[in-house]
Amino acid sequence: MTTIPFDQAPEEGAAIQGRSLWADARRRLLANRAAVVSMVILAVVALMALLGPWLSPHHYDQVYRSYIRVAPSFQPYPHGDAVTAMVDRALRRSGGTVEELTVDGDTMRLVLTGEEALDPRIVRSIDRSGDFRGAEVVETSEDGRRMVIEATLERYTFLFGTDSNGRDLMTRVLYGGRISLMIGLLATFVSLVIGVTYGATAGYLGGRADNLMMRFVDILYSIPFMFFVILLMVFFGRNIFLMFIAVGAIEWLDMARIVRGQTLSIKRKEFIEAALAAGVGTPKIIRRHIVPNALGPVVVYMTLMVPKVILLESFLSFLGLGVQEPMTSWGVLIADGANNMVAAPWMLLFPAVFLAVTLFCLNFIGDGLRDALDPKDR
Amino acid sequence: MTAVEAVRGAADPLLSVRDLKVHFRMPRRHLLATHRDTLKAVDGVTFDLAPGETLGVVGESGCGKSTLGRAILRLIPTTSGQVLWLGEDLRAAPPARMRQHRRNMQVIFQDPLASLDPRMTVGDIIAEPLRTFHGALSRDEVRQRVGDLMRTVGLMPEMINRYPHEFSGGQCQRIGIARAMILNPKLVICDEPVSALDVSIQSQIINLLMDLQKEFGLSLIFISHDLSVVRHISHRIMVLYMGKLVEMAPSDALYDSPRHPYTQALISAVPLPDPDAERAKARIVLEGDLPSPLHPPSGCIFRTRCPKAAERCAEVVPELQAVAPAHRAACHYWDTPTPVRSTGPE
Repeated sequence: MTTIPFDQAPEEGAAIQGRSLWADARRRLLANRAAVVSMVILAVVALMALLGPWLSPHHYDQVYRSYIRVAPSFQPYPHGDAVTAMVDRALRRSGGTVEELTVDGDTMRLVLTGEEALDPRIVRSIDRSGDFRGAEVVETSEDGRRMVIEATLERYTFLFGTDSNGRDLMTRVLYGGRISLMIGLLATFVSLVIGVTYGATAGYLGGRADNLMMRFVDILYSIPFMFFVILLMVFFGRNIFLMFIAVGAIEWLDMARIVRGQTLSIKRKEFIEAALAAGVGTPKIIRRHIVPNALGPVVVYMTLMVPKVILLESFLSFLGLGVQEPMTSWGVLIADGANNMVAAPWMLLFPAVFLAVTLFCLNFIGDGLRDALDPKDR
Repeated sequence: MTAVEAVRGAADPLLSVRDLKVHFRMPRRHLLATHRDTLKAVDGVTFDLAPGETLGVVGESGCGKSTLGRAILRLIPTTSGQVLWLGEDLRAAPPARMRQHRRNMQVIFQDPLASLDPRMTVGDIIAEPLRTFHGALSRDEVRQRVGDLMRTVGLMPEMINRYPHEFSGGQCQRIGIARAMILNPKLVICDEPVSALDVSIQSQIINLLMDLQKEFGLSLIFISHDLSVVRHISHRIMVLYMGKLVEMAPSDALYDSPRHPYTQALISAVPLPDPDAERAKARIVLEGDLPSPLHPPSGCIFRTRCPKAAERCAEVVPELQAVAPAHRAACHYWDTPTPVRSTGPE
């Protein structure tokens, strides 16, 4: 075999690892400060949503009747005189009057007097109120009309306050984040798979098949989204999976159009012809050559689609078509908060901040990705 | 025995193209138009290609050179005619059969970078035909073969994991050549393989192609608009004008005694290295532009620009006729001299 002289000095050694376009893009993305910061924040939000409800001392649907719409605070509740009201509520039907009430740390000491002899079973109703535990009668006067009761105070911390049903808002915001992010990711993923497959196939086949497939997309486009969702809800009842279907069914249309457009330009490239000449079959060409090359704009669009889907879910939930109580999402929480905006502004503030931060982060990441994948820099 | 003699002596051509036509139907001008224009990109081309032969295809931009190459490989649909591969008509071959034939015919493209998938490593690109036809080969075997071939075309095998954008144009073209060669094809269609490269790299690539041809007994169809390159590499040359074959001859005969006025004009347009000789040279200068391919002139398609066009040219389409052994031209007046004009200072 002849060896054709080479235009560089040959050197011995192992195969040199090349840098792929993806690796280049990753490097450029990591050099983009806004994108990196956004990714970190988003990761923190996602982790909080994932682990928060599990680590939180409160369950997302646990109702504290004594703490309805309390403001966010680092101090554990109850604050100040609140104990008096609690005791009053707990003793409402016991027939005694509170003579003296002292709170010492977590221990409450109560002196109770009555016109008749007091029933020692009164401690049960104190326990049952949920605000105290371990109530017991320490001292009883001889006629039984005076009684000293001690109980341990249940102390709760509500960092984000509570909602109008007395549920811990922090747990609910984090739990809602779980649902919102899950809908965002899942619906995006569903639309990604359908859209990329459909768009790449339509674009690559071209001609009549393309025409038919894209006109079908146009028809789906023309169906009003709200009407479609309401119909689904009417037929199948409210269900979180229905929401994935509804959102996915709308969002893949955009994706299909984007991918088709990309495919139209890629399929005229010579490397596709080279693959054809090499006898590569149509499915393999789409999978091996078209999709990887169309993925750049798709990835960018995806980061913009996640916030879009989250907003869509919020919108549906806001209208009462989304997730159902006691499950929640950022959209539901914001709708609730908007109703209580004056009395309890924190109910609007916290879910709104979380949603906004997430949307900003996703948009910055999308921007960063677009810059990183920009073909002009290649 | 030289290759030209081999061509003349060969009984069975590798590839025979018979009256091949590639027509494109243009879209309707408006919604209700009943007439649709037809663009005749390749219009009745006939030739044979012998094993081991290089056939040059020249012509100006848009004359159908590349379309012809793609039509032979069935990369675009053809309108009529025959493409006989060892006697079997490829146009009628069912897809599975056609796929089997593809391992014997490969293509090298004009734009070295665009013809390589930017998301694949060089190793994957070169191995793609191998994986298509020899799926059973292990990874190591594939790597071994790719490495060997990379060395043959003058690339370091260490580069196997690199990506196309990390290479120069000449290196990319070597990658394209390696991909075309990996299945040991019998025919390689080179679609302007050097016109995107600078001159020093051009000669390297041309020599590489010629070496590979000697080594593997390839047939080449070498498409180019660069006449000197074509002359260097080809045994025979055919000249296309607006999709029609106007002249075909062994390369020396075509250069030394071109018969068709279009060929004469093309050859007289090749610049000479010596500026004085260049200035003093008599040239055939063509008037006017290429006519619209949608509405080609009647009779001889070249008559609108031909310095010796006569009445007969507008009425009768000239047939290809033998003007010398193995030399055919499509001109009514091939044996009358063509008027020349000096391009020197007036």
